[in-house]
Parts: sequence; C-alpha cells; structure tokens
Amino acid sequence: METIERDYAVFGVQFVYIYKALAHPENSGYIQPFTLKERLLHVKEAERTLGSQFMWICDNMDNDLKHNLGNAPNSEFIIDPDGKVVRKRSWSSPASVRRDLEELIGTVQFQTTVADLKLKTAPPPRVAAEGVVKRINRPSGGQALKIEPIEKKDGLPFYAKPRVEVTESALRSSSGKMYLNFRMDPLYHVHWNNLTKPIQVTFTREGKEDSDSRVSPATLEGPKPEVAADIDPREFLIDIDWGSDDEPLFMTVKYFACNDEQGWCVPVTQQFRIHLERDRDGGRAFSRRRR
Amino acid sequence: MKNFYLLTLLLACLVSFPSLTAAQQSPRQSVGRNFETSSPAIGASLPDINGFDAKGKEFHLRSLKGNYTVLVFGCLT
Repeated sequence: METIERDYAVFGVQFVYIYKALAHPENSGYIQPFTLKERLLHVKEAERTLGSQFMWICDNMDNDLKHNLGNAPNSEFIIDPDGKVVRKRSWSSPASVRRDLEELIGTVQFQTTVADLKLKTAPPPRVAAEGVVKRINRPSGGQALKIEPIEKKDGLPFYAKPRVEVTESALRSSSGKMYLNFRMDPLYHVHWNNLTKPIQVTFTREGKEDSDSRVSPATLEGPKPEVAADIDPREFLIDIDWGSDDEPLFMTVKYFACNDEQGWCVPVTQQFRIHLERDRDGGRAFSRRRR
Repeated sequence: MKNFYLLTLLLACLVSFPSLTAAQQSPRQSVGRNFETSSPAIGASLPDINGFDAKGKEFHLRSLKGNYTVLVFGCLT
C-alpha cells in the first residue's frame, strides 16, 4: 500500500490507517489494550515496527469505527472529495486499490516498487526469557469473554493482562471449562519476577471475601520457573458453572512486574470484572503460536 | 410411488442445501457477508463518528473531504 501512496500522494490522495482492536491477540506477544492510552501506544508501536508514513486514526474503546464500517479485520474504503464512499472491500487488496485509483484519477507512468520504499521496520520488543513455562492445552474454539478492568485513580498500568475464554457450548449451557491466561504487555517492557511470589488469582463475590462458588478452584497460583525473569504466559484451566447467575466474576490478581531498562520491580494488585458474555471485539487467539 | 418418494427427497435436498452451505461458510466468507450489511453503501457518506489521531486528539471521520482518501483498517496482529 505504501508504494501506491508514494505514487498518488502527489495527486492529493491521502492514505489513512484506522487502528482497531486486535484481530489475533497474542501473536508476537501483543495483547488487547485496556485503555485509549494503551491503544495509542499500539499506534506508536505500529509506526515503529511497520515503518509506514501513513496517518493513523485510532478507534475509540467502544470500537465504533470498526462496528460502523463493516466489522472486518482488514477492510478498506476509498472516499471521494465529497466524503462519499466510492469503493469498499472486506479484505484489503493493494492491487485493487491501485486499479481503483487508476480509474478515478489516472495511471502513473513509473510505479514505485517495494524495494524503492526502504521502510524502516523493527521487530517486537523482547525483554526476558521465553519458553521456560510448560504450556497447557488450550481448548479449541474458545470465545473471549468481556473483561472490565477496574482502574484505580493513581493506579499502575495493567502490566499483565488477562484473557478469558470459554467454549461456545459452555456459553450456551452456562457451565464448562474456562481458560484463563495472563500475559505481560510487551509495550511496557516488563517481565515476571520469579525471585518472589508467583502470580496469585482469586475469585470472590464483589465486595465480599468469600470465594465465588461458581468457579473451581477459586484460588490459583502460577508456576515459579527457575529462571529469574521470563515473559511466558501464566495459564489456567478451571471449571465454571454459573447457571442463571450472570453476575460478573470478580477477579483479584497479584503479581510482581519488573522493568530492567528503568530499573524497578513493583508489586501489583489489580481487579477485573469478567462478564459472562462473548466479547465481539476480542479477536481469535491461536494456541501454541510462537510469540 | 417410487417416483413420488424420489421427487420428495430431491425437493428436501434442494431446500436444505442453501442453509447447509451457509453453515459451512469459512470465517473469511462470513466476514465478507457481514461486511456488506454493516458497512456504508457505495455513494453513502462516512458515518458521523469520531476516532482519535496519533496524539490522542479527537478526529471526526467526516472531516475526510476535499481529496480522495484511502482508508484501511489494521492492527499489530
């Protein structure tokens, strides 16, 4: 697409990327942002790793741009100078865009090639060891559930982010297995601290101390690898039976996060509500995909 | 009688085939189908909704006027 931009920008055509919710979270370690500020960090990261010169528009956290412009992961539109849609397709095709612009504006004599671009790309950040924690078998066909992070006024960022999945059949029957993982967000350049307590997760009723009987076990503790630091996900497979009680699960997570570049380690306690409904913008995460 | 039975069977297959085909659509085909119904029609204006520019300032989608614009959705993964 950048080659087309080089050829048609001279005619005033503007090229805009709309940054949306991740279609495939966990690929290359990237995970869904929880806040607009984090999604804007994603935009910066996309600029850094892709080397593109396009303007970026970031979708709001209700994903309105995605929902109102076709709900597809990689769609494209051509808008005319009056602001009207003149072309659209559900899957981006640079070759088709070039043909469209040739029809709408004209043909360029000498087309820019990818080799002409010399884009400055960069790999995703990696701050600690990987492949040191044994992975569990993630149930296939898992549907992401909606997670509501409970932000504190002067709270720390959500360094470790949860992803919660249940199968379609579990959603229909209100019981089954729940897959839960926590991944360190690579954009904060943090890793797990294995020299202290491992991650601890508890499920209680909100505002109460008793364990939530809908979840078994309601208290979880992560592994403690022998290496001092790593960024492997912490995974759990638990039983859930919520019947007709669809009050969100209330989850408290405790862990230690470290940033070697800035030289700190901090204890983190964060809480989340897990809604027993599918997150339509949760994307599809693949099992065993290499970071 | 046999012919009636065969005709009924054939009719039943013809009726059920489209719904079987729909159920067997790949995710990509399903995305395409949904896209057509939930995106603005050709000739329509962009919806009146806002996003944010890279600095976090509100951006009005309908301000994309004056020149041709190529809009592409994407994300890191």
